[in-house]
Amino acid sequence: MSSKDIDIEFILKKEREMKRERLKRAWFRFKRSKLALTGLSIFLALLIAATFADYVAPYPKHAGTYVNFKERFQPPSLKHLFGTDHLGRDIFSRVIFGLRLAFLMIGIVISIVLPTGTVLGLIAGYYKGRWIEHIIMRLADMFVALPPLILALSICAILEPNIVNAMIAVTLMWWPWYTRMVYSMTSALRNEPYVWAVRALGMRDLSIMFKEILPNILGPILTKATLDAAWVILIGAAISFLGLGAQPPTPDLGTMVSEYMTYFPKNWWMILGPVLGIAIIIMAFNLLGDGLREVFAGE
Amino acid sequence: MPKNYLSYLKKIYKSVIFRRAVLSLLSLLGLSLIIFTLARVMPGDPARMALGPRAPEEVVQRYRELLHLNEPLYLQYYYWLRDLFQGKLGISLVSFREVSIDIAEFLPATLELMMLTAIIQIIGTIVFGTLSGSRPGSIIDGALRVFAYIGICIPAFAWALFLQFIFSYQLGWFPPTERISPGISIPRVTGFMTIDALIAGNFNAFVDALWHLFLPSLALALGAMAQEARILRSAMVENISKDYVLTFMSHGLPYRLVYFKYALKPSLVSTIPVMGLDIASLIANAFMVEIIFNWPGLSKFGITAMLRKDLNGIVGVVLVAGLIYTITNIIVDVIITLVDPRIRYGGGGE
Amino acid sequence: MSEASTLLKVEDLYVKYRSYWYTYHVLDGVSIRIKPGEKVGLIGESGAGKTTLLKSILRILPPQGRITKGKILYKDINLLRCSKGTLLEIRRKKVGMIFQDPLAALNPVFTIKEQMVDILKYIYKGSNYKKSDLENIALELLREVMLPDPERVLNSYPFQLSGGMRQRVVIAMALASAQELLLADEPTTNLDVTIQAQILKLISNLVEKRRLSMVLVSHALGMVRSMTKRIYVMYGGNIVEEAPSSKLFNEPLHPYTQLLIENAPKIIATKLGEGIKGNPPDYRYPPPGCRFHPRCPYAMDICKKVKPLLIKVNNDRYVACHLYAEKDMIKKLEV
Repeated sequence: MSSKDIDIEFILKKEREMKRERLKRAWFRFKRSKLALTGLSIFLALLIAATFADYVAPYPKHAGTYVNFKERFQPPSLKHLFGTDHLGRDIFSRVIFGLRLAFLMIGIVISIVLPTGTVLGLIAGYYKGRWIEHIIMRLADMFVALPPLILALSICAILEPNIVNAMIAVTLMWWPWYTRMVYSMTSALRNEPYVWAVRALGMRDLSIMFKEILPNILGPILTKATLDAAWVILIGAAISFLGLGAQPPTPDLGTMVSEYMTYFPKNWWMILGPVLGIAIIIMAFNLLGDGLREVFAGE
Repeated sequence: MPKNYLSYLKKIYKSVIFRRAVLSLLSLLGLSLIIFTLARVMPGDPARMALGPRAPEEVVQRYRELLHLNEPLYLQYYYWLRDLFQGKLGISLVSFREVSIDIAEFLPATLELMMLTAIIQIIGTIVFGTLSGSRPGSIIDGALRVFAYIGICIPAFAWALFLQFIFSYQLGWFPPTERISPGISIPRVTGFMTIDALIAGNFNAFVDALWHLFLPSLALALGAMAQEARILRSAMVENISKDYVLTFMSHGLPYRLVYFKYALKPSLVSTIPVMGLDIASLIANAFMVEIIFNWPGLSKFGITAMLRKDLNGIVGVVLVAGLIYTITNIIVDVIITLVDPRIRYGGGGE
Repeated sequence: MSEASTLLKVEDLYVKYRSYWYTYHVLDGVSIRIKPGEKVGLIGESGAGKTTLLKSILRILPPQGRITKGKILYKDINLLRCSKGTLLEIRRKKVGMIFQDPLAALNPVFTIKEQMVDILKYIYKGSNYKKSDLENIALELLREVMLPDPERVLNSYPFQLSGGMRQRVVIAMALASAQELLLADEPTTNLDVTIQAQILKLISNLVEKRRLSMVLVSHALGMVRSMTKRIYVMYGGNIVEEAPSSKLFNEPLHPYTQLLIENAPKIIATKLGEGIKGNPPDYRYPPPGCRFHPRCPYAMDICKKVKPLLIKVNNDRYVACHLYAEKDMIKKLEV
């Protein structure tokens, strides 16, 4: 055995040890971070309420096309926490269903953007300087040449304003930002000694990307994705607020604000519920993201 | 120093920024191609949609011809590009006017809003960021922390509704909608209400226009401002313990000079990129606020075009918004290099 | 040693740093004094609190740092109590400080001219100097620290200069303020070995020429020995020994001083020093008693319980170690 092999083994062993040590420390810090724990508990509470909206909401029927003119425009009371709307529906119940919709949307969008964006970013970053990097990154450049909201709005408009197309629009808007982040992290790591080491040992490019590089950037990626999710929800709300997303009677939070704005400022409390709904779900993601950042960034 | 900057500005066209600017313009053109294609490929007859189901077939046919809708896609794109280089964006299916004329009518209102917003945002960020950054742990610092968190979580349209409700409908301090009070009319020169008022020499109208501008600008500025002030604050806190700031304390410079010059400028280096992106995005975020304040800006044309599926209108709005976004980003890039000499001289420390 | 002949006196100084989670008990009752015209050395490992001590003297600790107890007397002025104006006046005209890292001590986004003129403007406040006059003073200062082509240096940004040049600029700036006392905090870290000697020589010459008092912090023990009359040894936020320079090196008393001198890299010795075993104390939970006891080869039981005070062993030597305490002293403390 030449001394070179021993060096490689040594580098790899050290790298693996560091990886394990980092994870252990991250978990320890997560348990100690008030921010992360608060974020996680709000997040879980909202998620549970949204999942079991049919049982949590006092008037589950009011989510859709329910009409009760006798009880319209009631201000907030114990019976109707956020009051009732122009059709006599309980706004609190609708907000709970709105949360479910928001979670559904962000869940679907994340499950599309995270895998594709990660793969594209890893490939572009790992093969920096090759043609594949140029294709991926120039395509991403094109999508960030527009302000995100305008891009999403125009896609919604061209397709057809509804909730599925809003998800498509948000996905198309978000992926380049996410891909660019993975790309820059990967291209910074590709020249680290341990990557050279595993390459010298004959590991294949794809395995290097997923087994060596990805675990090392997973922390920052998750942090950024969580914080971005808050931003994506904000954009989603803006789309439906502007009338290009979900259409009434869908209990979408943004749609509800724009629907109830007709009765503003006389029945101002009508928009209170949906706005609080948007704010709290965004806050949950932000707290969680900040907590994760604290955890992964170290002391 | 001004000399220094001037010679630098001359060098710019050779620089990285210039190349990046060209690249972003090309990206924008590429994107417009995608959106243009998407718009034409989608099912549905745009001419029929624009004119309504009851319009006679021959009228619809005339519009199809006018828009080259019957011709193959590449020819449509060719016509569109040819017009674009003559400054035309095609006929709007909603207003039946040249899109560029429509946009030129509505854009100044949005730009005016963007500018005041940017001013509020920059001043607010610097004031709150330095105040809390120079006294970490103080009451101001704690208040900013809370405010920043609320700021991130609340969308601009909610801020707009909140401010409008409190300051217009409840307190009556500010007008709730429109750009100027009814009864005041000033000749349109630039389209910027405040500037036109000054040109007309009508100072009352200027104040009135500014009064109308304030609430929507504040609504647009608040969220981003809170976040940026927070970033500036942490940069300040970090910089204040650095030797290159303590040096000036050790020489007995007054605290204000040390904080607002020697700690602030290096802190701005990390804040400006974020602030720049936010300011550039105002062209889009203004949509949310304009609706609420009934502001006759780009959104008025844009949203109508989008809801009515006015293809030329949509592509035109996209292109113009993208152009303003790109230009703002380029300006920010230039400002960053002016603030940070390390970038200006292409050096990276050691 | 009467009060009148003391230029600077630090008495029983305690400094704490606070972070979100922890409190760091850095300085733990430090006392030093400097006579006019005296050159004093301060040695110890990195993290012993030397920089904190110097920054406390000028009251320029970062916001997390607090002086919780003690006195800092400059002549007869208590710097912890005096008015803001007096403090600024002392910073401007009496005491100058050379910062540890020349690469970090100059503001990266301003030209040297901008920085120096701002500093000089307040030093010469009241006299009717115009900006051009201040620039000339700056040029003169840069010439004094032997910088070639001072005009070019003045118009440069810090990152355009080499480390040695930057340190000369920092020295020039410190000189402008140091009309009585110069605090030099490891003025040669991060510099090439050849430049280190040059810089120390320059400082030594300038101090001599201007008849300044000086506190010199440095790891270059040989240089400290030749440049100072008296040396304080610091460990873990305490002064552990004080002695005339020559005597300290010939016969170190405190176990820590012994190890420090033994492990200092000597050019003649065949092997370089490997440093003292163990780590500097964790300031969040400093060891009780003598802060050095976990690393001390002679540690006794009492060292873990009772903090040794700085005691006089003969007419000009002081040490804070139970080894040198009189037997009945120990008993008294234990009771």
